[in-house]
Order: sequence, then C-alpha cells, then structure tokens
Amino acid sequence: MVSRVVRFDGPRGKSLYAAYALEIRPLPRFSLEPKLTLGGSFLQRDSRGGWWEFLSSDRFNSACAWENNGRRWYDPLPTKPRPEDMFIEAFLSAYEDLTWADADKDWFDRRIDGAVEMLATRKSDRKTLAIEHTVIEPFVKEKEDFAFFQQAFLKIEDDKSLVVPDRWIQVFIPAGTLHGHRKAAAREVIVKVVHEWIRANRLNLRDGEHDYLCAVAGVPGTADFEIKLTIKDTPLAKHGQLNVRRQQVGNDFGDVVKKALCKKLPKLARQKADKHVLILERQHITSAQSKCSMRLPSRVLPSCRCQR
Amino acid sequence: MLDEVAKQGVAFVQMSAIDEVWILETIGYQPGGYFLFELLIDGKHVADLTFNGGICTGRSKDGMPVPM
Repeated sequence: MVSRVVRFDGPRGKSLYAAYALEIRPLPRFSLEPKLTLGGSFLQRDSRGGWWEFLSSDRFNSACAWENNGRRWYDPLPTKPRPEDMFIEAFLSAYEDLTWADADKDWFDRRIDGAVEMLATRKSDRKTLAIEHTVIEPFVKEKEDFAFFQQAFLKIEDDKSLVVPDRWIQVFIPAGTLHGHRKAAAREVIVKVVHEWIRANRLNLRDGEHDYLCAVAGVPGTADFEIKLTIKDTPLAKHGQLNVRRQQVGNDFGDVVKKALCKKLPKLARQKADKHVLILERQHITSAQSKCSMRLPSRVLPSCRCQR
Repeated sequence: MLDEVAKQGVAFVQMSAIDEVWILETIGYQPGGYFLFELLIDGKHVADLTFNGGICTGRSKDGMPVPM
C-alpha cells in the first residue's frame, strides 16, 4: 500500500541517494534498493512501510516535493560553512606538534546530516582524527536571553549622561528578566523603569557590590513587581564608565553540559577514526566561574570582566 | 566546565570512545583576536594552544612552553 508519495522536481540523474541525505530531514530509513518505475521515477519503502516516490533532485539545491498530495520545499544542505569552522582549522594546524597542519580535511557534516564536523586524515601516516565542536552556554537558553537583553537593556549604556566621572558602575540585571513579557510595549516599560532608576540613583550608590531593589509599575497586563539589581560601584580615576550586564540566576549548568553531551557524543563516538576529539567552547564566563582560575592570555582578561 | 563534563560524562557509554576533551576559550573574542585551546586531564593542565588572528602564537605541554 502506498501511504506516502514524494515527488522531487528537478533533473533526473544519479543524485537520488544524495537527495535522501541532504534534503530530507529527519531522514527516513529506506529499504536498500529503490525500485525503478515505468515512468522513470523511483519508489522506495521506508521503515514504517510507507512508500516514497522520487523524480530525483539537484544535489546541492532545495527540492520541491509533493508529499501526501501537499506541495513542500525541502532545505538544502544540512550544514553550511560556519564562523566557528575557523577554530577547528586553527586547532588542526597546531595539534600534536603541528603534524596535522597539512591534513586532508573533510567537513563531513556539510555532506551528511548528523555526521561529525571534521574528519581529518594526516598525510604522513594516513591516521584519522574526528572532531566535534559545540558551544557551552553558561545557562540554559543563554543565547535566547542575550538576544532579548541586547535589544533592550544593553542600549542603556548608550546614554552617556548616566556616566559618573571617576566611577565605574556595573549594573547586573537578572538573566531572564524579560521572559514572560512577550509584548514589546511591556518590555519597553521595564527597560525604561530600569533606565530611570539608574539615572535617579547613580550618584548615591555605595562603594563595592550591593543589591538594590528597582520597583517596576505600569507594565501592561502585569502586577507591579521588583527587580533585584546587583550594582558594583568602584573608583575609576580620570574616567567614568557604565556597563549594563546580565546576572546569572540559579545554576543549571549541569543541564547545559548534559544536553551538549547528549547531542555530540553519539555522533562523535560512532565515527570511525583513529582518534576522537571533542571541543567545548566557552564564550561567556559567569560570576561563579570567574572565581576559578582561568588560563587566558593576559591581553584577553580586561574584556572578560564585563562579560558575565 | 571540565568538572561538570566529568560528572555528566559517566552517564554516557560513548564517553569511553572520546580520546580528548579540549576547552576552547573565546571569552571576549573579536574576529582576528586571541583565543585559546586547553587540554586538561583529571583536572591537570596537560597542554594548550594559543592563537592570535588565527595563527598559533604559543604552545605548551605538561606546563612547559614549546618553542615555536
């Protein structure tokens, strides 16, 4: 029984299997051999017993398909070159006393969905090295939170009238403060309240790091509430600076690491290679982590202080 | 971070297939700037690779700098 039919628009050719790997997500499991129909298309049965019909597809382009009589576009390659590829290239150039510098590099996951990022083959002995990389966020949904933060609170820094001469004021706003406030109008009110609170209180802050309560009223659809601001006020001779940053609330770092391992370990472990390397990238440092010893170049450290 | 990886890693059988876990520090990184790879085993610093502008500018092994 044909329960599912897919037709791909595009030139017919040899790239049928590539179409499976590159353009259909999630990948269905197919029987080994497709059947050629009288019309020139291919029929193939998936693991659920459904049938798919392919007219073929361009290997590297999106494919138009009919699936259960509905028109649908499939994405092209699963992974395209990314900015972080540069880090993997750099790593390989210096790894094991530079012996991998001229290795043959295969960006595997650009060709096959779910594969490791890099499979390198060393020219001198043909040994292989599988590399998988991932960013470890300091807390769950950090990127999403930063996107909100950047659009809203970070702009307070642009108001130079808030700068107090000879003082470095660092305002830490709890991460997730804007969560639950989906309407732009509500967010604007919260940001404005914090902005005005800083204006009103910046000259009366205590030396050192202290918590302050900022009362928020007038947010549409929300009862009045308070935001706990952690503010560090320190002398800064002949200068003045104001930074608005996020303060991590709670500690779900274990969940972040667990999720990353869940996603990355299986694909790295199943890749045949002489050596398997997992690279975990840390882009931000939390207040808790900053207390641990860090081995960063001294020239990097000044910029790190502002990146909680 | 490595403490957390070690703690969580025991629950994954695939961890035994991984030869090395490197930490890439890109805190404060701007394109063309500094970044650092660090290998720690059992909490002990084993090796690092420092880069500036994508070029390796420093290496160390077992705490000793490696001549470039």
